[in-house]
Amino acid sequence: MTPLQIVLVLLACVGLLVALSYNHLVRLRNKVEEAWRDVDIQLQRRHDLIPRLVEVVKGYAAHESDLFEELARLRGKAEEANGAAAKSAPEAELAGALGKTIAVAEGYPALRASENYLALQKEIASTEDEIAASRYLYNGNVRIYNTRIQSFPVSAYADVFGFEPAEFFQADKGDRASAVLGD
Amino acid sequence: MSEPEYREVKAEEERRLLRDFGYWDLVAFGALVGAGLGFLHGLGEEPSLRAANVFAGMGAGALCAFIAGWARAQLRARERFFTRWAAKRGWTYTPAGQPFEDTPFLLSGDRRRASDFFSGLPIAPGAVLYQHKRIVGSGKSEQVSNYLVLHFGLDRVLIPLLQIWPHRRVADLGGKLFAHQEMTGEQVELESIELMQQFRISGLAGGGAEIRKLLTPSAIVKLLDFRRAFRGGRAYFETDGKVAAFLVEMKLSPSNPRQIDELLALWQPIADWLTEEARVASVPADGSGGRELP
Repeated sequence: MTPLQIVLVLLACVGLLVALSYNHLVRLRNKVEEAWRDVDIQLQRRHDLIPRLVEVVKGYAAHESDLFEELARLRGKAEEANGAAAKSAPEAELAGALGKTIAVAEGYPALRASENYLALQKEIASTEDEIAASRYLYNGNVRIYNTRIQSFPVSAYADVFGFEPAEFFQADKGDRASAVLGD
Repeated sequence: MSEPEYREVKAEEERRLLRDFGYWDLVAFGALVGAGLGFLHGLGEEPSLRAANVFAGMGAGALCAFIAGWARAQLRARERFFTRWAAKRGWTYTPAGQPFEDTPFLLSGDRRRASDFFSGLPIAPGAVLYQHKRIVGSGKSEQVSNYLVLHFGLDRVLIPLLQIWPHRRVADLGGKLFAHQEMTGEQVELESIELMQQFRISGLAGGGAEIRKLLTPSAIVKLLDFRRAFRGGRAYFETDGKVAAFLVEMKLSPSNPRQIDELLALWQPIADWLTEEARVASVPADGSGGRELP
């Protein structure tokens, strides 16, 4: 083999490795996006439950209008935000307000005994569980993907191919609704 | 009533054996048979060697009988210990029985054997835990794998088939190269990278959507929690119709019965999830307008 042939074989090997690594990175990035879509679906479920909760609680605690307005405002703010990092804070605030509303509702025995409220409470608890789980899976995917693109030798060319680090979805006070529901 | 100790049960059984006249009779009988065989073997030898053959046969026969009795005592100690240990928990222990063969993995292998059945477990209605032996090949090439299996029924058909098997790098590569499929049906990709690094998931052909619907994020987290907490060998989960089976590669030992408690505690959230999902499933399995099993 001539030196030129050796260099060509080596280059071909490097090219193959980069191609395989590129495909792997694409797969990881798709998984991150897929996991985010799951989080988004669950967050949307949470948003959809809020008007129903307000409607049910209003019937028993109409004077808590400030709380309902705050809930509506935070819901709007959370819906406007785009992307994991941008959604973290408003969703955490919304979860906090949701927890507060449930805590207020718990102070009305008649409401607590209402079948509508009990069913809704169960649905909220299940949604909060799914939000926590999908957030956990999403952040797990982000951690694996980010570690991959920031590790050598992938870090040398990940940027060139447009692989940017993904954003984590922080929980902060987001678990408050679950905590109030006793999860 | 305190927790039974295997060492005590074993020591008690050994003491009983040594005090048993039947046992010494067996040893004496073994010595006699050995002496007879030694005599026959020495018939062709010189007279001076005949006595040596008789004594050697006597010693070997007595030793064989001694070991056989001792092994029997160990087996009895194991059974007595597990019976007491299970009774302490309100369970029932049966030393032998037929292996379950109603999921693809339980049916795999050339032959199967089962032992140490525990029933009446609180983890799920009708749950049975047992030692499953999967035997592949025969003679010198025989390979025996031991699994601890939790087997239970579901109220309804949750999904016609769901297999969650661990990754086996070499087998997977071999499967890809030689187009050999160890798992049945369609392999499903889920959103969690970690889950897909740990497990291969499959169901019947065309059943991917059902599997994705069943394996919600919280269900995936339960599987990952199990995988992280379980320090033993490979773990498998299967549901086939109204049956669920969880398996881990492990040999049951009376010296460490706590491994059963630990394992059941790790399996509990997954069993609860499956049982609950089956309870609320809208499609009945009895054929009354429900989905039929293929």
